[in-house]
Amino acid sequence: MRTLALVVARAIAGVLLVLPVAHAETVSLPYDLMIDLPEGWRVDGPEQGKLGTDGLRRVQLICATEACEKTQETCTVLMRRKPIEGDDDAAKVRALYESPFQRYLRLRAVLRNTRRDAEILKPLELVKIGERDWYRVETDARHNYKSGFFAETVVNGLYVGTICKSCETGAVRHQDGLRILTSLKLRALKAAGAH
Amino acid sequence: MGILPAVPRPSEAASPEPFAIDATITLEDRIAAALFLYRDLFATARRRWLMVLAWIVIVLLFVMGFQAWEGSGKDGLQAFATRFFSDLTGIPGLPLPLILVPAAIYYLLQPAIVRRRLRLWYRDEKLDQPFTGHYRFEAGGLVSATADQTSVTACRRLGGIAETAGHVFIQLKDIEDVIVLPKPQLSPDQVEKLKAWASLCHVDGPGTTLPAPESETSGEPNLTIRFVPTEADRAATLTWQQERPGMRRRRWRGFAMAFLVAAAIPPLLIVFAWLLDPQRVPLRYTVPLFAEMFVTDFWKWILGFWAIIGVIVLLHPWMRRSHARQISKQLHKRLRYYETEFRFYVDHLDTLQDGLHNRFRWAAFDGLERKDDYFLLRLRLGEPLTVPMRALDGDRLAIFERLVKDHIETAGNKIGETA
Repeated sequence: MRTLALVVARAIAGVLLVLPVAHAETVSLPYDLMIDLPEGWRVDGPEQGKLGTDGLRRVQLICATEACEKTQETCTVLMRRKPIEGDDDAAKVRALYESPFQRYLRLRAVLRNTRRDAEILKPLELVKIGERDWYRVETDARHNYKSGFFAETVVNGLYVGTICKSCETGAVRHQDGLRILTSLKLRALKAAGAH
Repeated sequence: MGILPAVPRPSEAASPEPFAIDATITLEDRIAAALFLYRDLFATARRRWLMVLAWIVIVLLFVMGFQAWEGSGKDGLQAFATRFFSDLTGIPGLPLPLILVPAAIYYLLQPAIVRRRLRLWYRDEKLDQPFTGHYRFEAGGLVSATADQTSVTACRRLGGIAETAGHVFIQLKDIEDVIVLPKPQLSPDQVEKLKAWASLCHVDGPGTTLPAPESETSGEPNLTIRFVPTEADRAATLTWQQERPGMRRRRWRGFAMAFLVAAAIPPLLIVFAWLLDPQRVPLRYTVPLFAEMFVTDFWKWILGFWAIIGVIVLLHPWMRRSHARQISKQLHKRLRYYETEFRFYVDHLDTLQDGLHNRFRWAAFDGLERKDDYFLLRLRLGEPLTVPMRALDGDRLAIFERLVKDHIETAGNKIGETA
């Protein structure tokens, strides 16, 4: 009974994100971005990430807590230097998946990323995480594969995506990933509008 | 047959005995005749299709080659060749069979499609009823007759015979027509006789020295006109044919079909691409997005296609005229045009060229039409006779109109006038 109560509490916490979180570390990302890493998380590789041939800079985050030993959670933050056309950040996020073709290609990409026979756990939709709007989609992997949490937003005109992977199969997944997303901010307010 | 000519006097040469064949010519025989007569045009159209196809394939291969070169990192022929052949056999190579397979099917079906179009055309023009033809083969030429029409053709206007599995064709020199005899109606003996006759009586044969079968004389005509048919005259007849009600109906039906097909193309393309995609998103996630695509995108694509078809519909009259000119140019190349004389009598019309004498009783006609600078005398059993206005100088025009209208009207026929 206690376990169930704990699960429920965690579920509520996961959805509402109201639980106080001890910020273990603040990490500076490229392009003036910052995130807070929950306890037990660290950056794998350079903090400035690696620039891929697709123009995306990737910063790998890994978790080394006891819980993560089972769930094998990881997150990747993806950033693009090229600014997105549009009015404000909220409009730019909305524009990401205005067309059904773009949504289809997104579903295709996340299903591919979650390997064969994956299912969509939560549909691709605009949700509020922290102070920002994110286009989020979650996949449910078949046995022995990692499920994924995929979210994208626009910060100060720049594209930011996050991919979190976990072996967790229960209803509550990617809690730490959500916390990381919530903590995303620009390094200094005066930098806003500089791009 | 009162208008059958008298038997010509026997010649000195060892000419075969005259003989006659009666045959019932059905729609299928006429289709076979048209296919034989215009075989070069049909073959050209088919070859042209092959050429267009070859160009599309070359361009596609070129584009694929370029992409493979880019994709292979531009380092060496080996890498390029590997990439190119893996592309060719993989998903990037799909457009090739997608274009080639339907095109090849069309190429193979083209003869059947042509046959079907001819059949529809004959039906539309009410030329699909069987008729009986009487053919008399004489040393100096051929006399062919149907109920209301007799033609006397001298050997110098005959081009020998040709045989297919089902028919024997008697070719005519510099006349856009052919005489067709269905083989099942011919006895082996008749076929042999025909061959023997044809070996003598053709443009380069000894039969040309013999006098042509004589036509029955018929006194002074009410009106005589002369003209040399031209390429432009032929184009005018073709244009007239293109505007026949049956042709129009089919054309508009074709346009309507094109609009329908165009509306189906965008969704079909997407479904096709989805089916071909090895990483496709499961159907249950795809269906709502697909439905949304109709609202957001498909209608724009469909409107785009419709705009293109609309432009084609608008340009089509011009395209038809240019097509008619092109065909008449092709026909002009293979025919020599002779001076033609029309003699109008009370009960019939004679048309004469060197070595050719046609006689049409007025009942053979079922209408008169005027189109631009031409009169078209519509025949019940064939394509119309074209009379250019330039042949009707002076008071001939008034006489012509009165005569023709009187005679065709007495026979109870309609007179039509088109702009």
